[in-house]
This record gives sequence, structure tokens and C-alpha cells, in this order.
Amino acid sequence: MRDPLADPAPLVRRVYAYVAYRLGDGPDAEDVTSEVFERALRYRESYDSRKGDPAAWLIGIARRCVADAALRSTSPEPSVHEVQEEPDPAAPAVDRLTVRAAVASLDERDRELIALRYGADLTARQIAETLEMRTNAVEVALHRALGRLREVLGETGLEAPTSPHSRQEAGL
Amino acid sequence: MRRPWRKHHEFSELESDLRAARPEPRSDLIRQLVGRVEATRVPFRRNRVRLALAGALTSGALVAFALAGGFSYTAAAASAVAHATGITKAHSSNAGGNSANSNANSNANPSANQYQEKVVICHRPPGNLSNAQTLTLSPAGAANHLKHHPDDTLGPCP
Repeated sequence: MRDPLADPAPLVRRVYAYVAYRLGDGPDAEDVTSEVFERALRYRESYDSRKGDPAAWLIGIARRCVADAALRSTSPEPSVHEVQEEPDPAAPAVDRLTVRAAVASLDERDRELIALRYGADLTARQIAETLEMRTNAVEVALHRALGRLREVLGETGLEAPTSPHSRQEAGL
Repeated sequence: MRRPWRKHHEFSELESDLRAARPEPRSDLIRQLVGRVEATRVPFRRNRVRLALAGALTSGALVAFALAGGFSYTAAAASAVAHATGITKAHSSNAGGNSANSNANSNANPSANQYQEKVVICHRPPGNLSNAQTLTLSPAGAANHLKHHPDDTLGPCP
């Protein structure tokens, strides 16, 4: 049997990114990420590599932890203007805040898709398996979620930031 | 016709920005969780070795018990065959009361000897009725005697 936690550091990053896209960056996301790994350690021997890779398995656990955390939490979901974060001087923090705030304003379904695709870095096929959907349906839903995200960025007057990477892709 | 969700270039900038904005955990959290996982790794392997050892020992014990059970079954079957062919009768005709008793008992299978109710009969060998012997037998053994030896009676010899 393969150990699903053989290389934990990249997995911690992916799980945290997923959780933070769902719940917001900060202590809550850290607590839930820790809980995910505690559960993973508990059920480590039940991991079946035939059913998916370790990241997909962990994200399955993370989804349940996020749902539990949402039930426990009584605070309203963060809006575009409520999302706060410590400034990171080494990075374009404004761009990050803008995008994360826009993601946080999406409805739960869109936020889930964005978190799975761009936080956990799962493929459309893996997302389809996780959500028990068809791959094509996931692609369509992701496309629509991205469209709504762009609308949010436009409506709030927050232009979609352009990262150096995307500038390169666009030939700028 | 090109399907709209295939137009990846339409959102390529947004996708790049989403990846760039991906929340990163604090290095402390990564270190803590990696340490937690590493700390449980050795017992995880040890557990597997322990389980394998337990499995092997259990299998070995099962094989040993199966073999012993097989020998016991074979011995009981051989004894039954000997009884059917009259081999034990030849022995008992030359033996005293105690040895006849033990031979009669050996006709029953081991479980009957240990767990079944015993029946006492008075056995009178054909042709030598004066040499009556009190036997303690299993119910099946007693019934067998009474059927084949018309002079045998239930209860101890007078």
C-alpha cells in the first residue's frame, strides 16, 4: 500500500489553499487544515490509490472539514469589502486581496469550484470525481464561475489584476 | 462549432491571477504539519510489520490445529474400522475386566468419550457366559453390544 502522506509539504499547501479559498485566509483556515491532516493520519491506512491520488483524497477530507467548520461558525460569509489580510510586502498584495475578495463574494457552488480548481489544483476530471459530476459539466460550471468572477471584479470597480505571469502570456 | 467552455484563452489572465493569488500557508504551519506526519511515519510501518507477524502466527497456528485435528479424526476412524472388523473383540476375549473396559471405551469416538453420557452394561461373551464383564460405554456402543450379544444386559453384572 502506498503512503498517501509520503510527501506532505506540497499537500499542506494545496489543502490550505483550498480551505482558504473556501473560508478565507487566516486562523480558521489553519485550524481546518490541521484538522484535515489529523483525520488523514487517522484514516491513513484506509487510503486506496486506485480511487485517486493523495491530493484528491485529502481534498475529499477537507470538504467535510470545511462543511463542519461552516456549521460551527455563526459569523456571516465574508463580503468583498470585509475580507482583510495582513499586507505582504514581498508580493503584489493588492492584487491578491482583490482576487480573493472577489472569490469570497461568489456563491458557495462557484467558490467551491474555484477553490478545487485553482486552490487545490485539481483537474476537471478529479473535480468531477469529487463532486460526482461529469467532466464536461465541471468544465461548463467552471467557465460560468469564471464569468461571474469577472463580473464581480468589474461591478465592484476592482479591475482584474494582471500578474507578471499573465502579462507574459498576453504578450505585454 | 466551438464550444464556449473550450475558450480557455477567454479567462487565461483571470486563471493566472487566481493561481497567483492562491493563499499560501505560513511556513510555521507547514513545518508543524510536516513534523506531525513524519512523527507518525515510523509507527505506521511498524504497525504493518506487526500486523503481518500476527497474521503469519495465526496462519501457522491454524495449520497446526488443522493437522492435529486431522490426526485425531484419522485415529477415530481407524478405531471404528477395527471395531467393525472384530479386531478389538479378539483382544477383549483374552483380557481382564479393566482392559476389556478400556477397549470398549476406545470404540467410541474421542468427543463421545469426553462429553457424552455413559451407559453401564453387563457383557457376557458368546461361548463363555460365565466370564461376565461390567462395561461402561457410550450410548451407541451399548446399543451395539445389546444388538449383537443377546446375552448382554443393561446395568452392572450381578
